[in-house]
Amino acid sequence: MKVKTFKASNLTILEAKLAEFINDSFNPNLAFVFSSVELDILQVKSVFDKYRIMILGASSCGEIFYDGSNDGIFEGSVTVSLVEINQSYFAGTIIDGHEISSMELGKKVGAWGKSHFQKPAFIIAVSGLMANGQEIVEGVLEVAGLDTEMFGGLAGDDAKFVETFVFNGDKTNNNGAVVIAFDTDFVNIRGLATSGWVGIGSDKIVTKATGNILYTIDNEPALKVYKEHLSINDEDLPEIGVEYPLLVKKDGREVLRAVVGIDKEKQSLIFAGTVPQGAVVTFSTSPGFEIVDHTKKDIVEFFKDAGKVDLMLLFSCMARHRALGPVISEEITEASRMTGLPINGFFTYGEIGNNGPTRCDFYNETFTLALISEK
Amino acid sequence: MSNRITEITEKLNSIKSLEEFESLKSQIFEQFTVLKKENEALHFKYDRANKDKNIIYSLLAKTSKDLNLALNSLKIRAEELSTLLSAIPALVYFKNVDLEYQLVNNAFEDFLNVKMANIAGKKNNALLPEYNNADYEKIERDVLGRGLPVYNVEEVIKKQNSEIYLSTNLAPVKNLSGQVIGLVGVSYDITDRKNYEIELKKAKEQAEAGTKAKSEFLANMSHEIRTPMNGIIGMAEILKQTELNGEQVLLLDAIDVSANSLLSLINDVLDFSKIEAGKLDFEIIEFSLPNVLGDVERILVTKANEKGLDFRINYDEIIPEILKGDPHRLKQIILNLASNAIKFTAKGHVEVRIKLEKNKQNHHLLRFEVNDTGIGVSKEGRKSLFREFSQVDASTTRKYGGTGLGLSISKKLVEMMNGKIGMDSKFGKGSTFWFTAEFGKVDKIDKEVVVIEKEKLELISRIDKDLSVLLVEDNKINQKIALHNLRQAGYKVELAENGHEAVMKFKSGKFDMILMDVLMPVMNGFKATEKIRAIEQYRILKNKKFMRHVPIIALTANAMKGDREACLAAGMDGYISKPFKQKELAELLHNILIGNVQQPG
Repeated sequence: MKVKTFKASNLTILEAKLAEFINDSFNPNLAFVFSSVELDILQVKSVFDKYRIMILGASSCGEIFYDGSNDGIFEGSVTVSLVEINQSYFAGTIIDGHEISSMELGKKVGAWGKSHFQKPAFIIAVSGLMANGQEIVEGVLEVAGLDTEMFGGLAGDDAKFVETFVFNGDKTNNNGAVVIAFDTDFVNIRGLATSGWVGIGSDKIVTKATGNILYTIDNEPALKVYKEHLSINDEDLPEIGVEYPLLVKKDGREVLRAVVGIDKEKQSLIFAGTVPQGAVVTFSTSPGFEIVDHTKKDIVEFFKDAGKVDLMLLFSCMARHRALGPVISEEITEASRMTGLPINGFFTYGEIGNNGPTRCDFYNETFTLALISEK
Repeated sequence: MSNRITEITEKLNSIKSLEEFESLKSQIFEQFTVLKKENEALHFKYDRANKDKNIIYSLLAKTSKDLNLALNSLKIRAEELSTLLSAIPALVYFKNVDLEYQLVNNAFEDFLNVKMANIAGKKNNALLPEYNNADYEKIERDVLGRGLPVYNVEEVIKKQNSEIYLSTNLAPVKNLSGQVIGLVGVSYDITDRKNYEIELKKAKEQAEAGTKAKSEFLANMSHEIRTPMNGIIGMAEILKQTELNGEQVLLLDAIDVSANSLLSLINDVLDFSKIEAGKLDFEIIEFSLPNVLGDVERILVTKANEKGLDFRINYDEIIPEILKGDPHRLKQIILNLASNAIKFTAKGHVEVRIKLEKNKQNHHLLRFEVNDTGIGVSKEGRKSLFREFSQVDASTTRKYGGTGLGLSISKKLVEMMNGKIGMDSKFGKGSTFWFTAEFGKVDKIDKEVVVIEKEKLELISRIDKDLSVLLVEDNKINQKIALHNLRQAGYKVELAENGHEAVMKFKSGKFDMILMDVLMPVMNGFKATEKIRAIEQYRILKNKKFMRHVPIIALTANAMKGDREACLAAGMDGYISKPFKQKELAELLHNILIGNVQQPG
């Protein structure tokens, strides 16, 4: 597997860099492309049109690129990893999510993957602000197997919360999933997911919710509860809601669920993943800048037996960027320092991955790193 | 940051020439870049802190308010619970896993006259040293160990010289993760109830003793009545043998019929009171079913024919001939049902049918049916049919007589045979009385039962002709009746007035059979039998040719359970109730000789 990773701050530079890198000695057939909505996503896609390259593309809420010469954090740009790999080791597609549930979408992804490989592993990006990341993961695992490895994130739109996109070589989609499936007989995918967010305040009960829409907490309208507790106004949501997610406790498991949308009329909140009725929830916050040290420790620990790495993709929650600002650079550079390889990724509205040996899950507020290597 | 600024300042100050500045320039710029980044981070952190400050403050203020509210409602809840606990009219306590009191209610405090403050952390033995706690604590440990409640633990506590009965329900107390952290006990003072129960038990025992005494009295009374009855029946029989004119024969027949029906009533009452007193003897021996049925037929066929009824017995050929059970009681039930049928049937037939209902591993369940074409029994009548002292109605009693005990005795006997009894009938269209009974299976028919010893065979051939009998009887009237009956049958009879005389006569004479009264002056029947058996043993040792076992039959008026066992234990072979008919005696002797009656061990 040959890999070249770079960043371009506009389409001209993108076009020039593709022309520069792609030549007789490097002929990529796969690309991971993460772009700000400031650049026209359709235009970004069209730059790749003249190459026969399968793309996994997503709009972002800030781009991540680190090659040792910068701080790793960008806005309004596009980052690209070009990959040359045996054509039979992977497959790619885009699956439309309009008119079907997130669970159905997940099942379709799983079934598509299984139709290509006995045991597929996935890199996935999901568009659409109403998407329920958790249901997508559950759908994939149900069809492809509970031990399936899958990494990725929910596409962003620079914190506008209006419209997000995924794309491949053929099309763009504002409510669907773009997927690359790898044949695990030849390609290894593994990674880690770490958060550091902590609960704050008293326990509350989710009294009414369906899927990822939360109507009432302790029998009070969810939006009202949120605003009262944080002393904020409608216009501060969902942005601030992403930084102060709910810590959801159910069946001995704790997950963070970030607000990605509000419904003023119904006084409800829309989350990136399921908030089950009857669950106990508290507010949560990043305890401070020291969580970066915590992440760095997890990274060092993980890389002790991470093995060979060809490509590193990072899906980091946009809230981490908001809360940690320039300090977040430390965790990005730390990961790169472990392998000496560049990192490509984006700030997401939600992360998907296996944390070490654990089952694949959907997260918010995490630093989720995927390592891809040819066996 | 300030270190870095000091460093840069020092470097700048150390520059002496333009050349030196040129050489340090890139280093200094690099420091500035880092400085810029650190500055940015600091600014971010400052802005962030300002922004977070309000939100976190708001969250904490809200949380603090929530906590206060929760605390307050907890306080109210605790007060409510405490009030509730105090109001419970039972002793309530909570102990930890070391069985130390943690919490008790007011009733508990009042009961032991202690205060919670003095109980907390203490064990039972510190509170009630005089009370044996070991058993109670064992139950408490069991509740803790198994995590399951235990109900109605009863104990007696001595308090100010009075005994107090407590009943306690114990339940484990578990925390949210299901771990047992102690137990709760709720005790009720059940002294009043307990005393009432004791009184009730006493009353019940008294009532039972009364019933028993009544039954014994009835049994004894029946016996007392039977002795003179024997006199009447016996004398009437003797009188029949004399020359009588036509009117005298009629009168004598009337005496005979009346006396016999009175005797049968007395026998019913006796049986019933034996059942009540739990003294009914019931044996389990091998017997021949066809023999029993043959007896029934012999007894009833004449009666039926006299009324112009057809009487027949049909039984399933697959039923084994030899069964294990009580042949006499079986006969009694069939006789009762069949003679009832004859009694209540004016024309037509009475039929006894026997079927094999179930063939189980160790026993057969037989079904007996007595079908008649008689008056039948109405639906209402059927309800009380098997109850004691009950007949269909008073008019039935007037018309047909009877005690109303027969069916209820049959019911009890059937129950003793693990069976059921019932009847199907249409009023005016005949009835079918039925019962089922269990009989043991006979593994292999004992050859000895069938193969009759030569000696016995010879004796059997003479049963109806010329036996030599030793009659041992002290009562003059009974002597007369027995002597008459035996001689009438052609037997040679020698009389002994008491046991002692019997032993003497046995020594010198040779008898085929001895009829032995039980209660006699000088030496009773048991003692005499023992002596005779001892003499036999001695003779057998000396001369094997001598007949080794002379059948001894007890003559009893009072066949209560204990008497029968005493007879057999003393070495007798069977018993017969006075007054006996020659036919009965011959039958019994026959049965003894072929081994159809339980032999003494």
